[in-house]
Amino acid sequence: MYALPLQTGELVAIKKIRVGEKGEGVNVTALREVKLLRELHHPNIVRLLDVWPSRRGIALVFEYMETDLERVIRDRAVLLTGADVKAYLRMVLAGLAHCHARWVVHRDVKPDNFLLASSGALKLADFGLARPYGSPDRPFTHQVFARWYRAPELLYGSTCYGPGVDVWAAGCIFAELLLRRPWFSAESDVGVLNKIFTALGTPRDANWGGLRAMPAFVEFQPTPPAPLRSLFPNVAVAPDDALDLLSRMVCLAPAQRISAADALRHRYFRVDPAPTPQERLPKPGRAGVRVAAAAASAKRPGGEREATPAAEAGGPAPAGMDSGDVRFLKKRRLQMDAALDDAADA
Amino acid sequence: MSVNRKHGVSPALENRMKRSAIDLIAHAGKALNMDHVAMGTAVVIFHRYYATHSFLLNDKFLIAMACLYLGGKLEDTPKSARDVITACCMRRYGPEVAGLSLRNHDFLTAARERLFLAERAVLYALRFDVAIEHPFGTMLAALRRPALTRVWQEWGQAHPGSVSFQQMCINLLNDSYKLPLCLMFPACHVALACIWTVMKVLRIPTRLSDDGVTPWWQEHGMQHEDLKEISCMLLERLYHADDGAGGTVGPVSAACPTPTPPKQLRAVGVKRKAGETGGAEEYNDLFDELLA
Repeated sequence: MYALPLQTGELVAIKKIRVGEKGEGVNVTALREVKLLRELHHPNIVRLLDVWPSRRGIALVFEYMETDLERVIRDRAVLLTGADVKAYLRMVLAGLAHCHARWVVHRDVKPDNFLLASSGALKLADFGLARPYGSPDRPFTHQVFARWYRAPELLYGSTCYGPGVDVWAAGCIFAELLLRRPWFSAESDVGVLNKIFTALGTPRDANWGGLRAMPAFVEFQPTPPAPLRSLFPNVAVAPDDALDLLSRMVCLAPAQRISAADALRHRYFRVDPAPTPQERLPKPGRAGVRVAAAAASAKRPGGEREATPAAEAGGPAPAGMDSGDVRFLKKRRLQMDAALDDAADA
Repeated sequence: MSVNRKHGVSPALENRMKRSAIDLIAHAGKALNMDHVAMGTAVVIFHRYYATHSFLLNDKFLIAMACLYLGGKLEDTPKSARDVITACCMRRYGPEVAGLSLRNHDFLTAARERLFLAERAVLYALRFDVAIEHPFGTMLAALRRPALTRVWQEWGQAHPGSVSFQQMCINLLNDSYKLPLCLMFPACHVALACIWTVMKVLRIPTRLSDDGVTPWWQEHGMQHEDLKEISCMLLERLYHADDGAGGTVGPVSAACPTPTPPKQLRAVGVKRKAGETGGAEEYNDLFDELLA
């Protein structure tokens, strides 16, 4: 029942989580991550290989990932063609669609949480904020996501939302792939809302039922939407189909926003150019060694989360392990197994 | 041989220990206002833990407390360690003694340390396999099927003022957590078997179907044999084994049903019509029928 595969010769990344720092035993975020990742198996979701007890906490063992989408976008030396953007977006949406089909909303979708494997596959990581959704009477916190990727309903303080928040963030990533800079970057919630409404127009009551009843509703000067083409003038990278999909993903009213699964069926993915095959996708020049999901926080001033128990990457994570480390891990692994068996027999 | 047998814990004793611990989880969970999924998870991980661990070496009270604490965390309804300790001690020692201990700072600190230790022990024992499936969804979906909708509607009309058919199913399902069925059968099978059992007990014909061909329970790979097996376990060990006689795993022998007053079944809300006679006899009939 509890068959644990022994990993041999495979590079892994370890996320160490200290236990009992806040006086509440094993971290809830860590448990959530373990619980959800054990159930989610998809080529575009990072694999949790194992969980070990470690001296002062628990260690989550992930597959090793080379870099992340954030670096791809930031690296000026990388040229992203229309086909590359399409390939990345398809992997983003495929990962999310898988989560949503299993009633999990990730709630922390941003470029640095999409890790890039050496095979070119893009994988969603860091499920510390993810939650199962669908129970009608469980209020959620709206303090999720990095601020720039927060959907308008979250900025308006909604405590009852669904997978649409992830799709909004994916839409922001899509725009970021096209623009090569964050779309709605601002220092405050109101600043982000202002940027959103400048680009997409203010929401009208007719389109968004219950808009004025939102907990933190703020009236903005009515603005008409700007044509998306004026914001994304490059037709080669962003053809009309791309902008049509983008407009559906960043639809202001959550009820009318396209779902991740429907977005994957959009015309954009069926017309030329075909998405670039994974192995031919451009990679950032200095493929900085990065430990999967271990860092991922507080890199950008505006992108920081607030009031959420996230980013508890305790202890220095080993960066760039060589084969010696893997041998060590394997040995360690066997010892752990033996210890566990002893405990079971006792 | 299981660890508990090796240590000389008889099936009956094991059963009794489990009952009292699960009772504690249920009552403390209720006092903490936890939802049924969190409590269910707590009970399932408790069963899993003691499938490989000895009752003699692992304090069942401590482990039950850790399971409750962990269940809350896993199902996104976390309760603070302090609250969990308070609720469990209240239940176990009574308000006077517990109140005295809980005001003692040293006691509370020590209890917290032990709780965190036990929590990790449970997690290691489960090897962090903590996604627990529950039968509630399957049961509700099954009860919404046309064939079964007719059943509970008709039953409700025929017995106004009585406990509803659906409620009996849910009650039986809740009680089923006292048995380690979660170790032996998928959660969805237990849900279907609970409905089937209630129908049997109420003398409702069970061979119903939506389309006239496949019986309603034929989903999730459910077999008629499994239905009978789970059903027998439920009736025999849940409502018979209060004296600790239960404990053998596997299909029950035909000799098992000793005459039992019908009060056992009242736990699920089954009421007999006035004028109906022999409870025990009928109960025996039921077993014969199940085993036929």
